[in-house]
Amino acid sequence: MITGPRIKTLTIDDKPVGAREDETILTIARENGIRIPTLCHLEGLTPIGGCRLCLVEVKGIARPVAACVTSVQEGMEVTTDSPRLTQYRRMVLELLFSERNHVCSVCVSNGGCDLQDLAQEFGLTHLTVPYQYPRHKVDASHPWFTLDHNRCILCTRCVRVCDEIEGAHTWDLFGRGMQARVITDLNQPWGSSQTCTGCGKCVHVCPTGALSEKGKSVREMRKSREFLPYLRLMRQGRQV
Amino acid sequence: MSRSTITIDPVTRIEGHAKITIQIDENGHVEDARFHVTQLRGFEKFCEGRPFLEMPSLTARTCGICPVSHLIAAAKACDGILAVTIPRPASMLRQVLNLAQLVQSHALSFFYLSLPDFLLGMDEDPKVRNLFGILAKFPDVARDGVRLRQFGQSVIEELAGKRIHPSWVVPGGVNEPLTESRRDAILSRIPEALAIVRRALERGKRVLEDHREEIRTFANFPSLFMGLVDDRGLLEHTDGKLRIVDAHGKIIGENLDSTRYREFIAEANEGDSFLKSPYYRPLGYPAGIYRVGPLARMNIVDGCGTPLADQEWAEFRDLERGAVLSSFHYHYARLIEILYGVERMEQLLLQRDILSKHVRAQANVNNAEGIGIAEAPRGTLIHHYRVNEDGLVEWANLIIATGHNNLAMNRGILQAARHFISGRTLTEGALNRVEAVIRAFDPCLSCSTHASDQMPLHVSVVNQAGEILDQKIRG
Amino acid sequence: MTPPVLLIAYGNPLRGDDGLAAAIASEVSRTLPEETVEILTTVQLLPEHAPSVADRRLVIFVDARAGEKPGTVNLSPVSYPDEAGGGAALTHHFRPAHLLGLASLFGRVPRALLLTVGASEFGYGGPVSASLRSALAAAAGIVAGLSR
Ligand code: SF4
Repeated sequence: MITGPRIKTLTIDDKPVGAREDETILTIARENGIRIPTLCHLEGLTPIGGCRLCLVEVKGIARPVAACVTSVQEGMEVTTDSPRLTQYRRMVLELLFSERNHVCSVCVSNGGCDLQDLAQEFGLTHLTVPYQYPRHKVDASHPWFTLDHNRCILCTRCVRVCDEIEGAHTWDLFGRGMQARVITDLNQPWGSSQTCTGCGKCVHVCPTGALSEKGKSVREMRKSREFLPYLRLMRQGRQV
Repeated sequence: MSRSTITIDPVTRIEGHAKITIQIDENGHVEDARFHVTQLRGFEKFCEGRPFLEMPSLTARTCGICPVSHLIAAAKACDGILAVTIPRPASMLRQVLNLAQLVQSHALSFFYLSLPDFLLGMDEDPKVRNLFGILAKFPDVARDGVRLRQFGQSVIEELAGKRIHPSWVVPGGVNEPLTESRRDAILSRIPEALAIVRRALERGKRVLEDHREEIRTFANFPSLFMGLVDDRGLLEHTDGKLRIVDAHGKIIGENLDSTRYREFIAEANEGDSFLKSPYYRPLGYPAGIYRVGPLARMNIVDGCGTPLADQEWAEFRDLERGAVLSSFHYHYARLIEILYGVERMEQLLLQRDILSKHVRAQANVNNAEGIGIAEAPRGTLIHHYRVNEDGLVEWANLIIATGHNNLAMNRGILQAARHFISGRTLTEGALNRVEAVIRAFDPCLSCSTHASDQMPLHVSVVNQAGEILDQKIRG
Repeated sequence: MTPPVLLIAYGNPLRGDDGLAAAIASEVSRTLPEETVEILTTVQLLPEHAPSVADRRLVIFVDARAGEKPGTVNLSPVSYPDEAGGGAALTHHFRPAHLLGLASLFGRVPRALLLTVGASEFGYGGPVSASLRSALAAAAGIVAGLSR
C-alpha cells in the first residue's frame, strides 16, 4: 500500500486550510491567496528564514515564527497580520536600510526593487534608527555585472541560486555582524573568479540593486525570475 | 573718525542669500567688489567609487534649477567614457530636451523676474513690482508668461516623463525613442509658444529703449565671450565645439577641442570665494576674463540657424560694431534665444528620423576619461570625470555657468559700487543697482529665483583689514 | 473630463510635518474616485498651476502650518487679492490666493478653500509626527466630504 504524505488541517487568519505535512506555513498561505511579505525567500531556492519578514504568530507559541521554515501542524492557528507583526516587519526593514547606503534616487534598481517595494508598502518614509553609513566598495571587475555592497541586504539568494541551481558555488558569506558581506570565490574580485560561469542567475534573483547588469543606468535594472521554477523542476526531474 | 567694526563670522553666512563684499581703501573709495556663492563642494568625494553610469542622476541633483543641463553634460561626459558617437536621433532628442529647458528657464527670468522691473519701473513699490503687478496692469503679458513656462515644462514631460529628475537621458543616448503621438503633441503647442515669444520680443525691444542708462552702466565693459557653436558656426546648446571671441567680436579661439579645455581655461582660486574663477589661459589672469550665457552666445555665433531668430540676431548685433558688451543685453539675448529655441525644436521634431528606434549606443568602458560640455540656460557647463578600468569614478570636476561668469559679475558689481557707493555706508539705491546687475546675469543661485520683489542680499562694506564698516541684510 | 474638484497638497515630504499635506492627499485618493477629485501634490505652489485651477467647481488647498497649534484643523475660504495684498514673491511666498489671481487669466475662478493643519516639526528627514495622526484622518475626512 502506498501512503502519501499526511494531510493536516489548520487555520490561517481564521480561514480553515488543508496542507500536506511537509509544507510550510508560507507555502500553504500563498496557495490560499494569503500574502505574507518576504525578502530572502524565493520560490525554487531552499528557504533559510533569514530576513524575518515572514514572521507570523502561532497560537500557543509566545514568539512569532518564520513562516518560510515552519512546517504546518495539525490544529495550528496562524495569524499573518497584527500590529505587533507590522511593527516587527517595519523594524526589520528599518535595520536593513540603516545598515547600508541605499540611495534609491540614483540606484539602477529604483522602481524595480523588492526592498523598496516593501518600504513603500509599509509606508516607511523615514528611519527611527540611525544610519550606519558603512564604507563599501563597488566591485565592477566582472565584464558583465556589478556588485554594489552598498545595496546588499545579505539575503543570500545569490549564494543559494549559484550553488543549488547553477552548481558553481561562486558566492559565499564572509565576516560577521556588521562586517558580513557576500564574496566571490575566496574573496577575490568577481572578474577574476575561476568558478563564475557568467550565467547571471545571481543578478536576477537579487532583490535589490546590489547585483546588476553593466550598462544599465539609473532605474533601468529589471529582474526576471521566471526561469527559476522551471530550472528547479528540470533538476528534480533528472534526479528522480 | 569713529568706526564700527563687526567681526566676520563665517557661520553667519545666510542660507540662500547672495553675499557680496565691497572693499574700500583708506580714502573711502571702492577698491574691489566680490560676489560669493556657496557652491556644493566636496562633490568629487561624493562620486568617488560610484559606477560612472550614475553620474547623470547624481549630478542632476546638484542643481534644482537646471537639472536637465547637468543631465546632458554628464551624459556627454559618459559618452566619452564609452567612446561612442551617439545615434543622430538621440542627439536630436537631447537637443529638444535641452531647448525645452532653455525656454522654460529664460521665460522665468524674463516674465517673472525681470519684466516687472521693466514694465512697472524700477522705482515702483516692491509690493507691486512683481508678477501680480503685471497681472493687474498687463494681464495678457502675465498669461503669456505662465503659458510659455507651461509649454517648456510640457515638452520636458512629453520627452522625459513627469519626474522632477528625469532619467531619460542616459550615457550613449536616451533610453526610449519618441513616439509619434508625443511628437505631435509637442508640435501642436509650438504655434502658440511662437506667438508668445514674438509678442515678448516686440515688447522687450520697446522696453529696452527706455533703459539706455542701464544699458550704459550695467556691467558694460570689454571682455571675452565663450560658448558652443555648431560646425557651421551657428547657435548650438547641446553639441558642437567651443568658440571664444574678443570684445571686438573677433574669433580668438575656434574649434576648441572640449577634451582639452584645461589648455585654454585656467581656474583661479579667489581666496575667500567659494566659486572657482575661470579665465582664458592664453591671456592670463585677470585679462582673460570672459562671459558665458545668452549674451555670450549671441556674440560668438555667425547666426542662429532659424529664420525668425536670425532676423532678430542680425538686429541685435547691429547694436554695436564689435561684440555687444552691456550685460543689460543678457535680457535681450535671452528673448532671442527663446525664439530660437521654439523654432529649432520644431525643425528638429520635423526631421524624418526623429522617431527612429535607434536612440542608444551600447558600449563598455573604453576611455578612462570623459568630458561633456553643454550650454545651460546660463552658459557653458563642463563635466569632467576620470574612471578606473572598471568604470568606477576616481575624480570629477564640474565648472558651472555661474562660475564662468564669476569674474565678470565681480567686475559688474564693482562698476555699480563705484557709481553708487560713496563713503562707508550702503544706501537702498546702491543695493537695488547691485541686485539688478546680478539679475542680468541670472546666476543659478537658489536665491536668484527666491523672490521676485527683492533678492535676498547680504552686502558688506569692508576696509583693507577686512573689518566690516557697514552691512545690509535684505530678504 | 476634468474632475470638478482639484486638491492641491503642498509641502516638502522630506521635512517632517511638511509632508502632512501629501499624506492627507494620499488618504483622500484612497477613498475618492479619480473622476471626482484630481490630486496635485507639489513641493511648492507655482504660477504654472494656474491653468489647471481655472474652471473647477471647487479647489481645495491643503497645507501644514507652523504658526498654528499642532493638530488643529482649520478651513477658510480663499480669494484674490487676500488681506496680505497682491504683492507676492515667487516660490516660497507664493500663496493659494496668488494662484487664484492667476487662474482668472485662464477661465472662471473657482470657489476655493484652504485647509491647514497646525504642525510643529519641520526638521530634515523626520517623519510626520505621530501625534498628528488623528488630525490627518480628520482633515482627510473633511476634504472627502467637501469633494462629494
Ligand atoms: S537597492 Fe532598492 S532600496 Fe536599495 S537603493 Fe536600490 S532601489 Fe533603493
